Amino acid sequence: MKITVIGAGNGAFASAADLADRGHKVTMFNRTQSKLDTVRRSGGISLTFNNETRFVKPINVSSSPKEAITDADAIVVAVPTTAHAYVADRIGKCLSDGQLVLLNPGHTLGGLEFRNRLRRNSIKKKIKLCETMTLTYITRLRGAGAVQIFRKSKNIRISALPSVDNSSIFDTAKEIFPNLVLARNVLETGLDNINAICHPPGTIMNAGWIEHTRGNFKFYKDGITPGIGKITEAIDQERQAIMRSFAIKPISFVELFHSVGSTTLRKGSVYSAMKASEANKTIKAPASLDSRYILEDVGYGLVPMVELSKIAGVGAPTMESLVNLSSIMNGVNYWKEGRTAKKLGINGMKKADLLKLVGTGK
Amino acid sequence: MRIVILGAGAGACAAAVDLKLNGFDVILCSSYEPDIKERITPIQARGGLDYSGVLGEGFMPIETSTDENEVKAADVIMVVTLANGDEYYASKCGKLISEDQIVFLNPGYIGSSIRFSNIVRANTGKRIKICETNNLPYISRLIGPTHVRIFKKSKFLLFSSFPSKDNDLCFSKIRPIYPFLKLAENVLETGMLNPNIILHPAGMAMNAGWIEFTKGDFFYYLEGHTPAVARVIDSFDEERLNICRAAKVKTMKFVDFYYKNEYTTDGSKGVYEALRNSEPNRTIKAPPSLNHRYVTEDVGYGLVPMAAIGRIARVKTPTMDSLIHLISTMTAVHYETDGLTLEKMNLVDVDLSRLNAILKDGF
Repeated sequence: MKITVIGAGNGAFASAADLADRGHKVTMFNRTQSKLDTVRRSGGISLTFNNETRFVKPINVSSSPKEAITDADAIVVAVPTTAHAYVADRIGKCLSDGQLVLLNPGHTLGGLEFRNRLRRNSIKKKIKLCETMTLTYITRLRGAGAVQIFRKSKNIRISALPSVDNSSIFDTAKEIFPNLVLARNVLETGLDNINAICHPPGTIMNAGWIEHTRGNFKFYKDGITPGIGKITEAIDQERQAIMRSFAIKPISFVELFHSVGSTTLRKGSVYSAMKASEANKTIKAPASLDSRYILEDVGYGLVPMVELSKIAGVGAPTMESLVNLSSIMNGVNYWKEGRTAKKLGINGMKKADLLKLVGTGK
Repeated sequence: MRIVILGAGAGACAAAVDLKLNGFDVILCSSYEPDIKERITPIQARGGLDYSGVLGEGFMPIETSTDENEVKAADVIMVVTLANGDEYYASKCGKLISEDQIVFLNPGYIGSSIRFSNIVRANTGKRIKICETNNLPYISRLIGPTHVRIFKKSKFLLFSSFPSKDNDLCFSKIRPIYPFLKLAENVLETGMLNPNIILHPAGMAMNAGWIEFTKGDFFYYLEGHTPAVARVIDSFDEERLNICRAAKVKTMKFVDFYYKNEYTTDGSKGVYEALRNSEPNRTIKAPPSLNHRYVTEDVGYGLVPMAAIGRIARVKTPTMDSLIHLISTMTAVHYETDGLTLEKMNLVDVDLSRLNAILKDGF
């Protein structure tokens, strides 16, 4: 398949290298072109996976959205979710009917924001838009033009927007990322955004520790204490209540964390699941509070979840409290700067309207 | 003047030494079992307290008792306990207190006098004279079973009685004990300027993991109160000032109060700078767990009633509400209902004008 990967971070490099390695014809495109200079020069990416490093090629780099998008069968958007609106604006007019646009990940409702931008820009192409609940890899960049994939995550949920397209996108999406399973709709993938559940409590309730030590402690292993685990559980309960209200059968955070392969425990407290997480045990806290754990996971995770809770008619006081405190501590009003109902094009909607929108697109 | 001090913690011991140094007739009294075992018995055996710090160094003979009947002979009954200790002594001592005596909560929290008075009235029908400060006048710690170290004595505290029609009478009795007290309009003015309520909850919530993981092994103010944590306290203080403005309660900024008491050398900027420049707080460690008076007292008896006064004044308090909710969640204690609610103060459905009438004339 001809696949264009947009982005130049951990997720984009991992996606591009893995896809090329599996025989797809890959082109990369990014807003800041210099981040792809090494790939442009060398024609490929150094991929480390399963204790083996090899050079994967060819990988093409394009500097024009038109050239990057026009002939692609599928476009994998692997950017921070804060950039989804930008990408929609940038590539919208180059899209053509029938192209698959896969947000990896969509975070919480990235697809809805993407769709809303296209509509606002009067782009009427019939693309197949879909999003995953979280990135399909546990991965980190390893210097210029090199990436390490620690694990290809399992059971990553995906849904099309609207979900009536689910059956028509699924086979193609699985050719791109084989570990996918279908979700009911983008409300399920958006509410299964694990990062938004586990990052904000650990960051906000460790704000002093993070600022004083510049994040020099083990975020999951040491920073998620029993008290913080209880906050995570409270958000998880609120999230599950929202899902039930939208007729989606929720599974708990611990089960989700287990299903993607991040912990050996299938149930129990968040605290014990974190302690048992081999994959996360050495991961340090962010170096500052101005990190994606807040910018993305509060602004583009908890904020849209609270918006959904209002439409669902269920309370989300713990999520709201975390958005309030992170806004104050960072001096940024995430209620405005984040992914609001307005940016999603769903403000003032009733539950039935929203279910219809994510189901049929109308 | 005979003063019975009820309580036996660091604050009560500091007060006993200080008052005796100033020539008052003092007895330290607690009937609370853990206090008797850990404090009163050793002090009795030693015959008094060793003391050090800003009041000098030495040994002070102190009379002690485990019998509440001691309060009968007192001119002033000074209650120096954690906020939840008020309840205990209100229930235990109500029948022993006469309407000529003065109960002095040192310190009060928000509505402490109101509730103490309500409990005594409900149990005995008596309308006692009761008054309070807005903060304990000492920063002190027990460094041994019979040794109290006093790091700081206040320079400026507020004082009022409940109801405030008793202000002049109570003030004339208490002022000789603490000449630095300033008479406030009512107990809402004192309670709303309790610095512990403003200062402690945010630091606990936003250092929760650090406290639990290290059992409090870091400098609470110096290290734990980073710019982000301090911004939350600044925002909290802003909400408190808004409540006071709406309720027409005189108050001052937290940093101004801190500076006035010489707790900091810089009260001109925000909370971060005030704490960076706070000598008395420099070496204070974080609490060893989240189940500490910084939460049990300052949230349950401070923040919860403060936010409730905010509702009466129709002022939005998202910072306070968020802290109450997150701290309740992380400690699995429902402070919203278990703390000092409007119901427990008999203030349900009370509006601002009715509240002011109650503060002035009582129920």
